[in-house]
Amino acid sequence: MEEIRKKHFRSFAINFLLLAALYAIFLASFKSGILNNYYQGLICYMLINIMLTVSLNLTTGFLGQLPLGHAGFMAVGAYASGIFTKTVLLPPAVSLALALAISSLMAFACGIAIGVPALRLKGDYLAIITLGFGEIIRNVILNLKITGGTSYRGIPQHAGFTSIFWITAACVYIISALISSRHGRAILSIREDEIAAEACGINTTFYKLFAFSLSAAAAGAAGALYASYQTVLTPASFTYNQSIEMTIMVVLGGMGSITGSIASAAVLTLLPAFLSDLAKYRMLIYSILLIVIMIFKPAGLLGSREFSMRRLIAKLRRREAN
Amino acid sequence: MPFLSVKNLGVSFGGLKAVDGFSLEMGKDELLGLIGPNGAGKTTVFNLLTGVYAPSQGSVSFNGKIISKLRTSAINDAGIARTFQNIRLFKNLSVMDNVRIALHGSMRYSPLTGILRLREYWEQEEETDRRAVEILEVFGLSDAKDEKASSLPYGRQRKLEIARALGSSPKLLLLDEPAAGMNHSETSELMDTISFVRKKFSVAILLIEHDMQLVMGICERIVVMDYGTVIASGSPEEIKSSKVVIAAYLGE
Repeated sequence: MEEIRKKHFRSFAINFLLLAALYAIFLASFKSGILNNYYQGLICYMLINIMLTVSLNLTTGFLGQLPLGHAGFMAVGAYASGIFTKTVLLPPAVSLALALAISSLMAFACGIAIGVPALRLKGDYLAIITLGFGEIIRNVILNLKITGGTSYRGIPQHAGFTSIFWITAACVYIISALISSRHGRAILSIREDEIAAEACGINTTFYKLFAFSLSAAAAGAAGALYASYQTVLTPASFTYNQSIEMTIMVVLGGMGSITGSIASAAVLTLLPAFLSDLAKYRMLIYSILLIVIMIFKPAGLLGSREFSMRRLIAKLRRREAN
Repeated sequence: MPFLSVKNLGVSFGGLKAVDGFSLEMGKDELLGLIGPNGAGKTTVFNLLTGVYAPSQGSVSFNGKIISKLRTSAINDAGIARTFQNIRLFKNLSVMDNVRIALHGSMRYSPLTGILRLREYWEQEEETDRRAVEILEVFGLSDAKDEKASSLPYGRQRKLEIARALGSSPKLLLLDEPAAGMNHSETSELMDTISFVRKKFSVAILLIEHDMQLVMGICERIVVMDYGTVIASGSPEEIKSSKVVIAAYLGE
């Protein structure tokens, strides 16, 4: 049994070192000017998308439900944090930490409020009701005074590459650690067979709500980072198209694969930027890509498998030894 | 007070009374067979006992507690576990995870402890793994523990379902046609397993079965159902010679 703990610790150490290296490389290239501000923005945007995709995967891939309101939860978090950081003036780090807490709590609460009625429904019905929720949120924001109508400006820029990078990493860790705990297994069992899960003593209502609200909370935190980095919020950036794009990222990477979500969020954020000539056709390309994937690899690129650095290293070592 | 006491249980779907006035009493270490022609309502009784359907009449008390209003997971917590007629495994999960999920209720650590991987997490997970392997060993499944449940052959899937049901340490085990689709030798093996499990885990067993070799071979008492209600009950010998039972199966 000690063996398992050791293996786990080795995995954790390898991933952490890798992350630190990645962070150092990015930071060095920003500082030295190899990557200019535009790219820094793009990378931050990519990190936020990773956070959104991984958190959406919790409900789509692991819980096995299909919600389409993730952008709504992100909007709740973004505006909550935007309004908080603009009105309550605190040192940047404190302000960002509080904003993250507030916005994820707000999104969590919305997740519970929507989840209680919505999670009684399945499949298309859940998709429709959450889609409706996202649109309601957007319209409320558009019409409230406090949210500034069509655009909310002047949010202090508290989040930078460093904070976004590490918060995204923490969020991914939390979700992947959760999945391999008893609570995560309870969530997976609901995806596999709800009736059997209940018969095994899993309170499916509770765990559905738990996974759904947790995923909403993470979207809220991503929204907070977005607001604190972008400094300007417009309701137009939280339309249902956004929710659908996140769903595409999840499906493409593999439902139930965290590493798949990370890869597909990264590729689908960076690719359009490099193929800006094709930007017009982005949604068209997405649709075609999705159809092709659904035909040839219906479970997504990685399916429910995970890419593991520790496994890869062990494999390479074995090969070398031979 | 009897261990399991079912009084006047009933449910209707639309105008159809699937189960009507079903009563049953069961002792703490009994092995009881529930038989009856197709459509008699046997599986519906299981679904009522485990809270999959809410009964429209009657009550169920188990181990001194009324359970007929509880949800399925709470009934499992109270000590009733079951298998399904058409196997319902967690197909894409490993054999081990299937049993681990049933052990969910025996672990107590919070989500935060799980995420932070505190000592409690490791202790409870290790204990869970130990118990899961122990149960899998009883069914000769420990060699396949890391395989996907869906990759097991049919007979082993049936066994895994029973193993999973035992994971939640039930006091009463409901088996819905455990021998369905098994050949003669597999059925004999299953009979031995059931007797063994009963002693090893000290559980009462209520089983639905069409295979008379199995029912007559291991059940001490048999309850016969037809049209949603009990038409006869008694020892295997009494049931074999009962006119009512023969009539229900073969017609007058």
